[in-house]
Amino acid sequence: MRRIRRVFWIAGVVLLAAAFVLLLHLSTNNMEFSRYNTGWNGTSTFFSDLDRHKTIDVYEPGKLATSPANSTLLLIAPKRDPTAQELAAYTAFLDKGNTLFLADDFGTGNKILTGVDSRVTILPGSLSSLDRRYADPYSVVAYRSIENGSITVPASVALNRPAALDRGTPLMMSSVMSWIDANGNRRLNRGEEMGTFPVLVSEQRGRGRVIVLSDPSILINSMYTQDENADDRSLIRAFTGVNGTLYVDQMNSRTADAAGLSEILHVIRTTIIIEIILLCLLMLALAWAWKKMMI
Amino acid sequence: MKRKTRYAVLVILIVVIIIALAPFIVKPLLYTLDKESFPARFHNNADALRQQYQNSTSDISPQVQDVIDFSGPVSLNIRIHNAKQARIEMERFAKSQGSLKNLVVKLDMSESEIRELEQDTALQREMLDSLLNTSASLDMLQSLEVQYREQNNEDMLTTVRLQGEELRKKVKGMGGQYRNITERVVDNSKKFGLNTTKNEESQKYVDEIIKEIENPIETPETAVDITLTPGEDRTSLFLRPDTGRYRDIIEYQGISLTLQGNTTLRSDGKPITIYFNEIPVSTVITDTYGYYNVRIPIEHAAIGANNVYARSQTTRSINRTLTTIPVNSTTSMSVTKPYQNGTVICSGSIMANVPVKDASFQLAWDETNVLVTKTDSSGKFKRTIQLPPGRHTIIAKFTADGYPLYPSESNLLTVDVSVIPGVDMDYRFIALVLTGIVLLALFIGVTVWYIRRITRRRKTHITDLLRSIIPGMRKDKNLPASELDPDLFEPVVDEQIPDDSQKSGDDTLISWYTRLLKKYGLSEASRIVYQQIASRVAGDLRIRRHQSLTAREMARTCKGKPYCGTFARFITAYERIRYGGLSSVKDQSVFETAMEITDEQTGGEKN
Repeated sequence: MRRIRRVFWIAGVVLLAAAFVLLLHLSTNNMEFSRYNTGWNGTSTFFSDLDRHKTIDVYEPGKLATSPANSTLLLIAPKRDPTAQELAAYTAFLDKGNTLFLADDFGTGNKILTGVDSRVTILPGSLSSLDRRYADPYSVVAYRSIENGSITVPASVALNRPAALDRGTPLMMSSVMSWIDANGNRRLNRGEEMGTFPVLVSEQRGRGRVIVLSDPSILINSMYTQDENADDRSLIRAFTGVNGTLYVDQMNSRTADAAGLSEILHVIRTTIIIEIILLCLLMLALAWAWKKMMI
Repeated sequence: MKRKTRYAVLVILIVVIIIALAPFIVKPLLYTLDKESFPARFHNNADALRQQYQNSTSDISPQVQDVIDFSGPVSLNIRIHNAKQARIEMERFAKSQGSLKNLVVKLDMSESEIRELEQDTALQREMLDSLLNTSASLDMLQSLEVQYREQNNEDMLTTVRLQGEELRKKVKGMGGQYRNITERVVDNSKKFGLNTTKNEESQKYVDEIIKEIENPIETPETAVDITLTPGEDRTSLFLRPDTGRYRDIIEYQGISLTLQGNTTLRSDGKPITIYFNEIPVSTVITDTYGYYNVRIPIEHAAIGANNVYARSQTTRSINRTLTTIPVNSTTSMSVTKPYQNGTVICSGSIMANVPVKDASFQLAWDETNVLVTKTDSSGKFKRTIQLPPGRHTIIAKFTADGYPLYPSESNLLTVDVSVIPGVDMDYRFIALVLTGIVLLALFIGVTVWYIRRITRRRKTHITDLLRSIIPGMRKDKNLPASELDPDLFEPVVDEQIPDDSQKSGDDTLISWYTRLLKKYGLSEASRIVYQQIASRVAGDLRIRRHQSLTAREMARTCKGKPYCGTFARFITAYERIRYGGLSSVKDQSVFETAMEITDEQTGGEKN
């Protein structure tokens, strides 16, 4: 009898562990840049590396209004045109002397830059290079173009299908063996000019500062976790490891994308009323179970 | 299959699954690399890319094949204007990609051509800088010219004008030189297919600067009669009083005389202008006797001494001093609640005993945004500003520049602009609190309902149980517990024993047990006694369906009562008699002792 009871408990624990693993598996997704995506094209590792003590996720523009001085806002891979309220919040954020870090290549980054009166432009077309990290012309290696600047950037970084930037003070540029692949055939054709192109620029905007990185893909798991891309991580840390508060935009970013169970978990986590209802239901269920056990 | 075996098989299966999943728990990818390398719009899978051998000639060549296959001269348009930097880049590239020995990128330019292009570009940049500096110097000379003209300083005015002319001549020469160099750079660049847009744009920019320098915008000259010398007393000026505060009325009066040979005539109908700190504030016409008189309140004036004089077209009075005494100002402001689009109306006034009219002041919000605006003729203001969502502070600041007043500012006001259009921040909070209250009430209500339902069901069950035990028990559905408790200790009617052996009203449990023992033996007597005591315990502990529980389950269920320990010992003795085979005298003695104590502790004596 006692042995059967022990087997029952062991089976229960094992079942719970199996359910946990299943939940872990189902709670991920395969959406581009999603923070809930533990696959190669997600940003789960980057987000898990952020310092929780000074990182604030921004789900509404009003959150930025209370930002302290010396804050940084990360805007990674925006997916839609910004609303007037969002632009007003970004502008006010910059006016306080803070830093807006935009990482975007083929999203709606230009609309945001125009909205905050920045002169920087993200050029269309994939930047390609013979000077590259992997066997693909889109895996461009970019080099530091400014020494002893106010921002410390590594000597070189590997990018993954970046765009090229125009205007602003270049902090990192591709090498002279680069070109913009206008027709997207991954080859250098006549009419496609070779030369250096900025991929990381900085622009002073009033009291604030706008920094644009033309490739959010350095944050995806398959780039972020590679041993050979330590410089990429240094570059990211140069902006995320700042002394002030770090805000991460989750209003207009592909990193906030969720689907399936991960979306449900995300909604539960971020909606206080649902959390309260679930807690109440859980307490009711526990009370009912306890009562049953007593009888 | 035995139950034990079933469990064991289940455990083994699950353990095997867990072991199989273990390598993926940290990074739960259950797919192969092939499946993971699906095409993505924004990037490629670096895990897949690093599997491929890279940077071989066969890998690079196809990417530049289009250029190599071209039958004409191979020319790569190097999009860089700094040939030196290009050379450094090339060297760095060659170092980093050591395996690319066969790749040759050839610039279709000779060394001398590269050098010439470099020199021209450097000269071009130098000239542009010089032009910009000259333009700035001219702007400064222009402002000096205005200043000296106002001071009637003819010598300095001439010097400044000559310097300006020199600079303009220099610029004219530079313009032509820049144009020549730019044309040369553009020609050379076009020859090698370089992009010349920026050069051409710079030429346009330079042309605009030169045009602006060569044709300066004329500044309007105020007609100053420099031949007039103050103090000839041909126009007199008196102030009454010569001291005052803001908005005090000052009377300006005097007489205008015209010299005609040796005769001095009173000039009638002559316009006299009053100048207050070099600014004309009023013009008045002399009467038939040459007198003029005007009353002007003190408005824009410096604190302390202010220079005042009167002048006609041909005469000028001596300078008089009007002394102002500063007074305190008060700035007040109120702000409306924000509208749906975040606009708020700021209204208020600036007072200095009297309203400060047409006064410039700053409306500042969040310390960083400043709107400079003015009060109306009654010293009041009303301005609309649009604020982004969030908490903002607004303040009105009157610096009192140009007024004989002390500065002041309003109270710092705080405005909350809701992120949800149309919902005020306070309403949101109230809505949240109300929702919380409703949820809490709902939770409490459901809990109370559930507990009452359970309690009612148990009461019904106990009543049914008692009804089955006690014949003739009243069928009161709402029987209170206080009335139920004594009845619960009534003996259970056992249908298996004849009526003459049933418990009578005078019987105690012990005497009844003695009767039963004699008639049915120890085992049966103990069973009937157990039933009686178990029903008492079940009634006291509100245990439903206690008859379906075994004696051991009853003992385990009994918790929190002082008799539970005794009851457990009673059950142990009872089980030994019922299920332990032949019972010894000792077992019977133990059972009876336990029975007596349990009977006593469960309230048997009172029955």
